[in-house]
Amino acid sequence: MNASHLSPASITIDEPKLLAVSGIRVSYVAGVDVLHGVSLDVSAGEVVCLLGRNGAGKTTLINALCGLLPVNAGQVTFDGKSLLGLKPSGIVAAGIAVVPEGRRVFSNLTVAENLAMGAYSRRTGFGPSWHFERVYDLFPRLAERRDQLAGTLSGGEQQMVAMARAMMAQPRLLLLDEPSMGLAPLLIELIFDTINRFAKEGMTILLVEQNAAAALDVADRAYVLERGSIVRSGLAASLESDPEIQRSYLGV
Amino acid sequence: MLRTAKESLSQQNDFASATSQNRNDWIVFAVIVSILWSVPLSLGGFYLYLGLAVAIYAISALGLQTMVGLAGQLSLGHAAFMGIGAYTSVLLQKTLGLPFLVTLAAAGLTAAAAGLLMAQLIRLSGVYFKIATFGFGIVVHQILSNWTALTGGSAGVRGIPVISIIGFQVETRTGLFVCEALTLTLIYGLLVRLSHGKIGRAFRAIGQNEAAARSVGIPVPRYRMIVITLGCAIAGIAGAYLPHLMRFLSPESFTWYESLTCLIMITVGGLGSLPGAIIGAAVLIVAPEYLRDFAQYKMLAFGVLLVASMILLPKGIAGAGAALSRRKRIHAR
Repeated sequence: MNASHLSPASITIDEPKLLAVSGIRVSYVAGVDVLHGVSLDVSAGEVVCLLGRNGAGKTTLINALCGLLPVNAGQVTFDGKSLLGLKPSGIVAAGIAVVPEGRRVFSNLTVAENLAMGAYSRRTGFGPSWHFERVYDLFPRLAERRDQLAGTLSGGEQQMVAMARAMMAQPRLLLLDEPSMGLAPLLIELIFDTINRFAKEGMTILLVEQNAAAALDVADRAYVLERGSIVRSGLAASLESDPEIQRSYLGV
Repeated sequence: MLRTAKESLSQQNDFASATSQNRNDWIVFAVIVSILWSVPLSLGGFYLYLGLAVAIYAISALGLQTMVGLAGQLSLGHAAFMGIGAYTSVLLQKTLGLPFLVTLAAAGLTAAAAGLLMAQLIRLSGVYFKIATFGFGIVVHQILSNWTALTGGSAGVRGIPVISIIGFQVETRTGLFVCEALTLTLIYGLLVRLSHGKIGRAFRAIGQNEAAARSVGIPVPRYRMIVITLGCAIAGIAGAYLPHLMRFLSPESFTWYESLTCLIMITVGGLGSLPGAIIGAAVLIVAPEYLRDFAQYKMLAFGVLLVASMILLPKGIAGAGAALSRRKRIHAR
């Protein structure tokens, strides 16, 4: 566990950031920005969450980071190298794996085949790997259902497939886009338990969530996105006790 | 120590299903190829003629299956690429006197180039791509019918040259069938091999869910180009044989109706299944020959067949066969 994970408050300018987003503007229609100069950063080993309501621009930000949307202005660097202009496949190859909103599993492939697809862009190529074992250790339920078609699984199990598939890419940064969306409370708990276990293993995670209470529990730091701008940021614990955040996002 | 044993066991489980699928596909390959080589040649006569037609459309359907069944890129203009291959091959033979192996390769390359052009022009996905391929097919048919100086227009091309391979003249139907069966065997084998490799997995991923394919790092646009080009190239190779069977070449062999027939072939045979493409081609070529008295109802029969197969056999004949053999195995336990 590195220093930044233990004391996220001590982050200073000269500390190397794994992901650094500075002042990005993103639009779907020319001239109409959806993100108005968003800046955030994630250090290695950190879990950072991005809170925001529907339409705040959370998924837009994730899509821009994945190379699905062009960035009009600003800079995105990963481990010091610019990600701008890279295609989605190049970004995955650079070490960023994404669990997309709405899961998007390959429903007519088996669980094992879905996981194998996750290893697609690994340089070593496709082949037997200790990662199957590690992923099945994390998700025993998937080990039981490895030969079942992913489309026949429940929503929670499909979310596990999507997360396990992302881990198969051996990413250095995991982007999770609303992993709890549309799941029953018990399954949401399970998904956040898993995020916690990823974090304990030292995985760097950027988590986008509407479920602010659960997200702030697993995160080290948090950003709040409103109408395309970051309006708050800080330690998860301090945001959790902030009256304004409690009123707007935690329903206290 | 214990952990390594556990790991290797789990790996075996994960890859056992993949290898058994691989083995099954090659067993089916062996069965289909042996039927292909034995039945038309031993029965001869009319059956040989049927075999010639089935082999051509089976090759073409394999190309369409790769595009549509595996990678989900539905093309409504497949026959146009057969036409491009047919005209390229015959015109090169007639005007330049090139040997058939060269013109066959040229047919594949020209159709591939046209396919690549289509894929580049039509950078659309979903239903827009499908509709645009339909338009592309019609444009090609119009060019073949109206560019009289090059293609002879709607009157067609007569005097199809005899196939000559390395100085050996293929004058008999048996010889032509051997050429076609060799081509079909080769392409079918290559596609089975491809479908189990990295490229085949990428095709299947795109066919199932483009967004998910992108999220695991598959370069979707590149693989779409590759699969469309490949499918069209195979159609071109199939097309190169057609004039030698018909001894005549006309644009009317490459209408949208023929494209639709190719689609019905892979649907009835089983979408996504390579053997299904061959079985579907056989059904749609052989059945009308035995129902000549009802020729005017052919279109109606195809439509009914398509609807019936979608309701009764949603995974086609090949899918039903696979389900049957699975059920047998379960009962045998």
